[in-house]
Amino acid sequence: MLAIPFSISAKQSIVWDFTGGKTPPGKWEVRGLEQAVPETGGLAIQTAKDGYMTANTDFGQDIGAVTITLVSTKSMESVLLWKEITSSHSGYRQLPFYIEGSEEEQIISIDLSNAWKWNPRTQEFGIALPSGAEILIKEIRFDGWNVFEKAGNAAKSFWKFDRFTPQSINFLWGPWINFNPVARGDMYMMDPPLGIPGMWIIYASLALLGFALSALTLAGKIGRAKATTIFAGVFAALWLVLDARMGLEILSYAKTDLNEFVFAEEGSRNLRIFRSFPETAQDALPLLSNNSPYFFIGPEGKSLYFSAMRYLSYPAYPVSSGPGFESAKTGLVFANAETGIDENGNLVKSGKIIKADPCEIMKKYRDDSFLVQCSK
Amino acid sequence: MLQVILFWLIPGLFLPTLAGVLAIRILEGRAPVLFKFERITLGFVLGVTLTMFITFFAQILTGIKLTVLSHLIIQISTVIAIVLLYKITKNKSNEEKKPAASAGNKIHYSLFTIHYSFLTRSIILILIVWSLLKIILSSATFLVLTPSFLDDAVDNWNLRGKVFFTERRIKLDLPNEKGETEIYPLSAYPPTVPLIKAELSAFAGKWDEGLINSIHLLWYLSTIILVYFAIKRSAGGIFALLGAYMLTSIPLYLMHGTNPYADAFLSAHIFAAISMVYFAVTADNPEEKKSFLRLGALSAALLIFTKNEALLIHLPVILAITAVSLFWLKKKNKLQTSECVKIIYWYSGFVLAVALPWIIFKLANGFAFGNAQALSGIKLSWHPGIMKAVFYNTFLEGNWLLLFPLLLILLVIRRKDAFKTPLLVLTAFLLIIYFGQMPLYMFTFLYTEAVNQTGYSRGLVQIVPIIVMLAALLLEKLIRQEQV
Repeated sequence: MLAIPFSISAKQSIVWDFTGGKTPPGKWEVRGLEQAVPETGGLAIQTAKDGYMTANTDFGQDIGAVTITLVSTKSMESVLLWKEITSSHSGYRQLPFYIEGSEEEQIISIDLSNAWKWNPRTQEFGIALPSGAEILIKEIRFDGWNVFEKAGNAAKSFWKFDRFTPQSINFLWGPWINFNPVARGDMYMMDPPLGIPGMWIIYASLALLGFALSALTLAGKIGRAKATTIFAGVFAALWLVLDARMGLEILSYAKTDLNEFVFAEEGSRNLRIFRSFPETAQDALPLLSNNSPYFFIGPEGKSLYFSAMRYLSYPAYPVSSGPGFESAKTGLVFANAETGIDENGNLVKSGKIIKADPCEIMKKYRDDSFLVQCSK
Repeated sequence: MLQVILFWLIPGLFLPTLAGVLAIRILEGRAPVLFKFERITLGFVLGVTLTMFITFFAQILTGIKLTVLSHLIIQISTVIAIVLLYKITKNKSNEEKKPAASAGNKIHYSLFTIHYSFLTRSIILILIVWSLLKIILSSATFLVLTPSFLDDAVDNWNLRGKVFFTERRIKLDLPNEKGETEIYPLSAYPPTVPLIKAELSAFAGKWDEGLINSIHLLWYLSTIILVYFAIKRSAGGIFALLGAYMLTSIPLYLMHGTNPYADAFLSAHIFAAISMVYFAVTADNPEEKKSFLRLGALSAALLIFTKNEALLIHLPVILAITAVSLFWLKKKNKLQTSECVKIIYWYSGFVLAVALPWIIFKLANGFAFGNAQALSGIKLSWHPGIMKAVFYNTFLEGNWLLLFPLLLILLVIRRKDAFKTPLLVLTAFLLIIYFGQMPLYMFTFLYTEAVNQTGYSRGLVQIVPIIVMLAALLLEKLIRQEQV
């Protein structure tokens, strides 16, 4: 045990603490950022121009994720930067991440283990901010996990389930493998998921077993029938494991639907990514059906909501453009924060008037949705 | 309330199923080759499609309103017509000779009369309970208790069903997004699925999501039952159970069985059409062979009225394999030339009876041929990324568990069985369908169907029951050989 290097026997973290006016050790370089001042609360950055700051690094260990503690009242897309150690690439590698504006302190964890060209031996690491940024960085922490923790995270990620999405009728991502809890937490937020397909583990196991059994058979240690039986038995066992994994995932879809929709209290029912749409549509249908054709404005780029309204309300039907839209008096706006009524009673979308009639909101719903009646 | 509304499945499906069972029994003739429960199951699958085919053309030709009464009249007339045919053929066959032994009754089976070990029986019981749990909970939730906001449900199957029910007729046009009425492009799809939903709603007197969606579970269960009996006929009860378990364990097939999509429904028809050809080749005597082939003819013909791709992709392959099988049966003196000619008449008659009116209807309304998109005016060009998407979907995602690696292994180690025995019927069908579609994805605009894993996935869902059957039968041969 003593021979095991420290780096594989315990999780390690490297912390860059900016509080108390401290600057973490190393050579820091700031470019473009107009103001970066160490304060008691952390490093205060204000800039009207795009810019970045980097520090020389020597992590000396495997780094799988970075966690940034900050305060930013503005929402913005920022970028992590690191320099590749090979001579073939002179610029910075970049990993964008999003900061949600908030008065509260927030902790943002970003997986690095799956980032394109991430190398923990990088000699320079930093952060880039867009123009208009006002941010207080309190701490940047780099985490690395030992092999046992990685194995544990891989096992847990194998059994982490996706959610029922519209694409689930076309394909199910299935088990996916990640080696740290940050990647595991985010893995199904991407398409395809973060990490590597868990099926590789299954195939690797079967290939190893196959080679081993073939070698033993060729060496005359076991008979062909026995080798076939062992291989078939392991194959069947893996099938059962995968069946349990995928069956439980599908049952988890059902459980979520039952909890969030079927048995949820009226007024708080949510169905998958459609959220309050079924409840909202159900409530609005009587009025819409009596005023056909009615207009419908759904989330941008999501035609499924229009199709669902057409289906639900038939023989009444929705319109979303053309003369039908202009003449429709009653409508439903669902999950479209860009649409509202201006001070003159016009229905506006992204600041443009889309219906000049005096309109009024008949009923407000959750998720930026409302029933609207226009008088002309 | 839920139980009450689902009650309408019984009157809504009784006559179509009866029509199907009677039609099957007539086609079996002197050799009733199916197990009783298998006949009822296949009767339900084919009977619904048959009666909806008749209803569709009765409606558009006569203008009859699609009310409960008209549904009953059409279905009772169909049943009476089949009963009359049944009587005629029964009398005729009685005059000729006694019925041949039923192939279905030849293999004595029962899970509890065969002496499996306690461990085996326990595993079987656990897997049955587990599979039922998955099916019951997911179907109850996705089909009955929650609304179905999936593309094909709200754009096609459920929408058109609601239109047929509301309008009491086959209506092909709908208002577009501007409110202008135009021919709805998805009216080009065969209307069996929406029409049976409209029929069930007519019986219930209202459109109910739980009722109209529950039919999909019945199609899914039917396919599992058909696969079970098909494997049992060839390999016995334990392998039939294995095959049925394998099919229920396929995650994407379960998703399709418990959501209102039509690919599991199509898969039942494909399975019936091609498995009957396989059994015709393996059956012991000419009567049984002809019986299977007549059933295959009806199944193949009704395929046309399920989904668009059936006419363009599956039917030609099935007909080609049937033709080769007939040629082989003739060459091996298993069937006489006159018997082969009669079978060709059966296939021609059934296929033309369904295809001609359907094609005329499509041409008359200017509908495109093809599935999601028309196949006319195809331009060829290479689309990169297809093979990666296909590989991911087939081997690296959670869609099919280990079904494809298993199939590949079995095709290699049991290649003689797969390619030099009657199993070639199934192997050839799978390989032609699978590899036949690949150029469409690689070189045409249909590449999006593979990259987005839409058409490619569904294409596999449609043939999964056949893959399971082939895998189970190859496994049986492997295990039997290892036991020798």
